[in-house]
Amino acid sequence: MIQCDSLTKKFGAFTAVDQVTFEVGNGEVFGLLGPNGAGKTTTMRLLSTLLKPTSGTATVAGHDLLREPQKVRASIGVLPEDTGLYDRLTPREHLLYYGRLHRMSEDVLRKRGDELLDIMELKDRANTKVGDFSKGMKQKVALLRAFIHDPPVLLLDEPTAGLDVMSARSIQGFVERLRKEGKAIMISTHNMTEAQKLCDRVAIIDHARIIAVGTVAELQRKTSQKDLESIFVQLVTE
Amino acid sequence: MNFGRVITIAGKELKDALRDRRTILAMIVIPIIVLPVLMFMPAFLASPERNPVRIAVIQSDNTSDDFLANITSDQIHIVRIGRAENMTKLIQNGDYELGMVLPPDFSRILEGPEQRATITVFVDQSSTRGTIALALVQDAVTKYADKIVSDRLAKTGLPPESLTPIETDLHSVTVTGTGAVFLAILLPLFLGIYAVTGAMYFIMDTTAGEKERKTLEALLTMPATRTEIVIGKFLIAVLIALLSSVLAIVGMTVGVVVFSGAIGESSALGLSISMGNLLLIGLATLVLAMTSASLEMVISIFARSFKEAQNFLSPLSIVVVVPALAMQYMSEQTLRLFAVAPIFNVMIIIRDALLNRASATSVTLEFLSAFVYMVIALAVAIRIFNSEKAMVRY
Repeated sequence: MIQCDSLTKKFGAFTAVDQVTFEVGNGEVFGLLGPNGAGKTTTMRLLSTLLKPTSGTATVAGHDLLREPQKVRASIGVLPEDTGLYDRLTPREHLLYYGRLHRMSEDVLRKRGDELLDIMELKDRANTKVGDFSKGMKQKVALLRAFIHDPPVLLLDEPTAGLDVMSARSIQGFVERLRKEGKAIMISTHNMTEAQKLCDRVAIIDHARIIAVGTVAELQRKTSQKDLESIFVQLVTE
Repeated sequence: MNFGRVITIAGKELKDALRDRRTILAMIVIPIIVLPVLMFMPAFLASPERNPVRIAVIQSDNTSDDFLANITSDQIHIVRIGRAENMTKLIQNGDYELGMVLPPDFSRILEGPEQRATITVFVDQSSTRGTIALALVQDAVTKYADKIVSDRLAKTGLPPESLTPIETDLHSVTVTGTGAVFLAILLPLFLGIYAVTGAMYFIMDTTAGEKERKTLEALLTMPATRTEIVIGKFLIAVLIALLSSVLAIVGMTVGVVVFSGAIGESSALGLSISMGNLLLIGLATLVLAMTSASLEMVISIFARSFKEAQNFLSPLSIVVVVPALAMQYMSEQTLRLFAVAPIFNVMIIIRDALLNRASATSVTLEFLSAFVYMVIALAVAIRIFNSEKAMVRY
């Protein structure tokens, strides 16, 4: 569903993403792990067409990033690093707005919006402006916004960063659900516990390059370390 | 371009803007309430019809009683005070708007060989009420003096015309009345100011503000094209600028009606504008809103933060005053040279429509140039929206 082929992004002399290659299949949660500034967010932004690659390319849901950016955008749901919600709009208004931008039919959109708000236990607050919401609630709304048009591919940048346990669990539960529905999900995180719990495969990215890709078990064998945190530290410091 | 998506974006922008107190303040409250009150209230309060000026008078004797009785009116309230009072202090303290010291033997001086009495007047000319009091007193004194002069002439047997041997007979060639001239100065100025400032806050918020709050990033991952996003936002910016201009006119009209009398003749302009000219003014206002919204969008999108956009855009509200005021002092030939200058071009149309002198050729040229600026500005805005460097903060 996502195929990255030597994706590279340079900002002047600085290389933010260097020859990144990986694949994410349907029904798979793929974790992009790396320290701050390693290139996680830039990779996400390249795949969501916000940035144009300097070289290399990627296909998302069968559409080429460079040739069909519009179609790529129609096939992805993005949860950016910052929720990017409008404080003066309610959760329902957010879902309606973004659903309409995806040209969903009004009946389907309203029905799906209500279902999603129900799943995330936001129905009671569906008509409250999000400016009054906690960080966890905002993150839930942003996740629903990414998913309103039922895209085959989801790009989630730090989905549980800074959230309380209950909000984080609720978001992780939702990601599990999406995996079961067969979505290709890419998560960028530096939360090792979360990555170990959620991800089928992970890629460790450091200094703009992917230094290891595989299932947690494969990486355990490769490094002779037990938990993901130790695997990560060993790979990054090697 | 998908029109449905443009409408979706415009609809969301309008809803968001109407929930923002600052936009409401700039769009509705200021033009319709604050500015008319600020404009007309001081004149209303200073008006001697409602609040007569208080004049302190020191009389040496009662020979000036007749003079005082003659200058007293509904607008002039005379208060006699003692000789020991410090007139300068009383005026400076604001107890009275003006003070007069009348010489002894006032009537006898006028009838005697000297024939001229001197009245000492104390006034603070930096105060509006002081200036009004001075004008009223000078007017009343002149009337009293004219009466004395005509009495003196009558005694000598000379007719009053002998004092004005030459008379000027004015033939005005102005097509329209003074009301139209007055409006021709004010209307382009006000419409220009509101077209520029009315939507300024909204534009900064929806471009640089969205960038700063990172809401733009989520929007840019939607299948809407950059053109659709820019046009959707632009439509609401124009609507807000237009509403603000229209409300400013409503506010001014309400101001004139509520405080009528406070600004004298302008409440009765005696103005008649043909339907064609009225439509032309309406169209020009729309074009003015469109040009200024597009120019402001380009500048604002270019800014990296709301504050930066504010720094870039704020001077525009001053800049727009310059052509409106300059128009009064320029000759028609010089003015024609500016017929294609942005903002200026549309202001000229409004002025010409009010003075009933708009020609099809000049209006076409002025509108055409305004559209060219708008199209260029929108194209640049879309280009900036397409530039990842300008749109995404790394």
